[in-house]
Amino acid sequence: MPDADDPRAWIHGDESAKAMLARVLTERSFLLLPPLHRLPLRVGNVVEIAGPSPSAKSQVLLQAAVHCILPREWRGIRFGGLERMVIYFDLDCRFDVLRLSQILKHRIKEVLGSTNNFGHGVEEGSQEYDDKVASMYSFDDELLLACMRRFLYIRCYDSYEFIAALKTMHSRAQTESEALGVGIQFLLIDSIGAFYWIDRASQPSPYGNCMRKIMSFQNLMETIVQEMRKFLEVQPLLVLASKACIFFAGSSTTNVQRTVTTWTSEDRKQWRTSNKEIEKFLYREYMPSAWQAFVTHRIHLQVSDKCTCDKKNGTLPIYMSEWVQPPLNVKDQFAVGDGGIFMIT
Amino acid sequence: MSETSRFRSTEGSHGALKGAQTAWDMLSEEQMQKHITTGCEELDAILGGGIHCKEVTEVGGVPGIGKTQLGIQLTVNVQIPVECGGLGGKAVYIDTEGSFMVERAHQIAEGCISDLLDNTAHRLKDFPACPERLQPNSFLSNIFYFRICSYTEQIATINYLEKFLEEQKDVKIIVVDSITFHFRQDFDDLALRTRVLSGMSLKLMSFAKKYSLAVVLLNQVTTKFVEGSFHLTLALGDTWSHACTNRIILQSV
Amino acid sequence: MEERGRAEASREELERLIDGGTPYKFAVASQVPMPPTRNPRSAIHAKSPITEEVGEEDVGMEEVSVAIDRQQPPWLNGVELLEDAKWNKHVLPTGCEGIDILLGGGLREGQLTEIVGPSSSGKTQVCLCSALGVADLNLGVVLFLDTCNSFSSHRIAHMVNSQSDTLVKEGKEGRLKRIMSSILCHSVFDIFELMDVLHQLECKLKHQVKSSGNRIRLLIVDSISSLITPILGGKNSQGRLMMITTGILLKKIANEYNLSVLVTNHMVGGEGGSLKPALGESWKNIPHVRLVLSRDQGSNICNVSILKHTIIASGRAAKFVIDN
Repeated sequence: MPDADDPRAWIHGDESAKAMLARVLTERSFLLLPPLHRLPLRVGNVVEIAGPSPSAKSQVLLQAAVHCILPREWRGIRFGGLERMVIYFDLDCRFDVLRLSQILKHRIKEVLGSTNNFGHGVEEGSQEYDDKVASMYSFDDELLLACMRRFLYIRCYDSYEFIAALKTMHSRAQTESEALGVGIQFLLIDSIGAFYWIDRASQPSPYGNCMRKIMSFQNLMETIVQEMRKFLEVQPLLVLASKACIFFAGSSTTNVQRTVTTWTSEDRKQWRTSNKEIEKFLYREYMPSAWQAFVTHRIHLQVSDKCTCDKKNGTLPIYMSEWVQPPLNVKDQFAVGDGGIFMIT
Repeated sequence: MSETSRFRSTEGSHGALKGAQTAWDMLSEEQMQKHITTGCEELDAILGGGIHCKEVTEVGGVPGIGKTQLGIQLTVNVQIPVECGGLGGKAVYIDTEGSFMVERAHQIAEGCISDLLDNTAHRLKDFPACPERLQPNSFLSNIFYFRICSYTEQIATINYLEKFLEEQKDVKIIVVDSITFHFRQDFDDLALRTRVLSGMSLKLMSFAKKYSLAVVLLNQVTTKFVEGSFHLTLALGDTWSHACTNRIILQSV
Repeated sequence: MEERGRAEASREELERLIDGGTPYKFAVASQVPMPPTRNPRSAIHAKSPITEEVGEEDVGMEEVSVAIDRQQPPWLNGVELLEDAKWNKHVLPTGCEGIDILLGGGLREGQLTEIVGPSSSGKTQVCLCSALGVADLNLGVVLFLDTCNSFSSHRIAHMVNSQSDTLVKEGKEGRLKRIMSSILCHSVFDIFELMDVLHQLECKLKHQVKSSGNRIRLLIVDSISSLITPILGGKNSQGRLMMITTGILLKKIANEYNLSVLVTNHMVGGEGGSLKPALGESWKNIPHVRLVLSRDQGSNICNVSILKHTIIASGRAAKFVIDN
């Protein structure tokens, strides 16, 4: 409280703009996550990743999770991660922990392999070499477990469980972060429209004598968004949510001329869509306005016809990403290998 | 289906699930299962002894090849008494094209009865009641005939069949001639057609399983251009192809 | 993952707690008294054992959070997930070598695998092979839910007899009986019946004794598309609702009771006359693994390729032989 005798103290601000910018940039630094790296993201942003199936949306989330849980530095070796906790809401119930550990192991091996920590003069086959390799592997496991401890996961089978989980998220996250000593930075949701059809069709049930709020899909989403906002006020996070495209793009109801062609397993062109109008229909918005207002950034993913081929990974399909909000008219290409996502220039 | 009428064959229901059977029990049951002979030895051989009960068999062929004949033959053959090696059951004939002819059925019944009397004369001496049953008219009276003029009637009849089968416990074969006739022309909404046909096939399969009877569907054929040559395939191929257990195409040589 | 003890009644209780107008306080552990809820006695005092030690005003929030935590699935961290995957989620071989090599061992427990293919491309054969494989290795019981009368015990018996060449200890008859008794078949012809069967199964699994030899390991639904196609499409969205509810229920059973679920799907005409899997866009997000089968006319070599997998890149393909 500024002194009553010193009216000038009222006019002086709390800090200068320069100081504030410096503070915010350190507290809320920009994050560049491939393939979302075109736009620097900060905590407090809510990014919606939309795309038909398959378009590598879950892989993007896993990539972000790995980036977050890797340490900045471990026993002298620099990994470049954020060393923070991640909360993963699995609404699709399709998360595979082995994939997460596979990506982590690859990243760790990459970094360990590139830093030439064998030193010079150590020959292969010698005892010293074997010792170093053995220590590297135990080091791997320890590091892997340390990273995995920073990954918090919960699976929800319907919207009510999701809301319940959101309500208990704060206390649980607090206990975990106190135990580990790090804060949370990312909140990943896979995928947000998982219960769309169920909630849309569910009738409001009169529950006994209580004046129960009618839980339509609109209301459920409003509650979800409200809970998340409450949490974000206390603990700012970067929210990444994947959203499936549920509308089929193509003339399914009109009378299609059935020209018979043989189907071969190599013939995968048919799974793609290419037309602009078809794309608009494909990415049609079905989430209610509460969620749409909550989202600050949107990116569309799609799988393309082309494939990339290299020795390490074999033939892999190429995916395309395009920022829609804010609209950047650039399409990036990336592929998903064993070690995660890598960009294709 | 009502809650209480689960499957009739609940003997051997496993502790895991009401109405489930182990494959071992099913194997012993299947081995005791009788077949309905088609009257033609080679065809019986292809089918593995004849038309199986609890299965849906689809028979297709170009017009005039004798599908209706086969259908009528089966409705007669199913009535062969148990003592003579048949099923001794009744038949349901659903006619969508109007190709069922009573006189022909009478002829076939007469032929079947005379075959029986010739072949199994010695057995019939022990069962004096048989000759009364072995009259063409009694055979005809055991064929329940439904005439259908539109696809809605077809759907309605198949839905009604369940109640009918509950009352008439002896029905051992359902012949539908032909299953896709009303669905081929003038059906605008293809998605609706797919839904209706798949619903119908589910119902027919459930009848076959639940009441232990055979379902024979007669179908028309079209030609399909596959890999550089024309093949005969059953009509409504893609949408209907996964609906049946056995599929046969009759071709003239 | 097994015992969560979540029944319908407790879910209503949970909803009551959420809905009860309790303003959510951030300071959970602090001494904030909770405003009186609608039914303070039943919801709170029924559950908590800590009434004596903690003061009256603290009881509220503690008990609420304890009650809520107990009702819903627990939060796990990555280490616990890895442990669960290692100890509980094993791999079941399918018996078809090509598929096993492609999938890195076979079907994983806890996952829903879908096989898509045109008719007579070998889908039922793969299902029967997997059932046979699991029963033969004494891994447990296989439950085969048959919607299109494609389950044939004769075929399985034939496959068993054609395989037994190296067995010395067990007689042919004994082996056949053992294998066939571990495969249960149940016919379902209606989506509601399927849901009913799955709920029954869930109840039974909840109360089952662990580690008995009668544990269900593999659940096959052949084919799920013939149950859903009659209700999918049209003006109302009831069909998609049933489809997604069934999918979620299957995945829940797979994950919580550590069994593997295998479903088959057929193909329909798509753009330009080519074939695509049935059941539409919403189904694509449900299975963990999607495999596409195809067979050239007249040959008994099947091609299988991966359409979607949690770990392996899509597009990988393999071949395997089907005996007729």
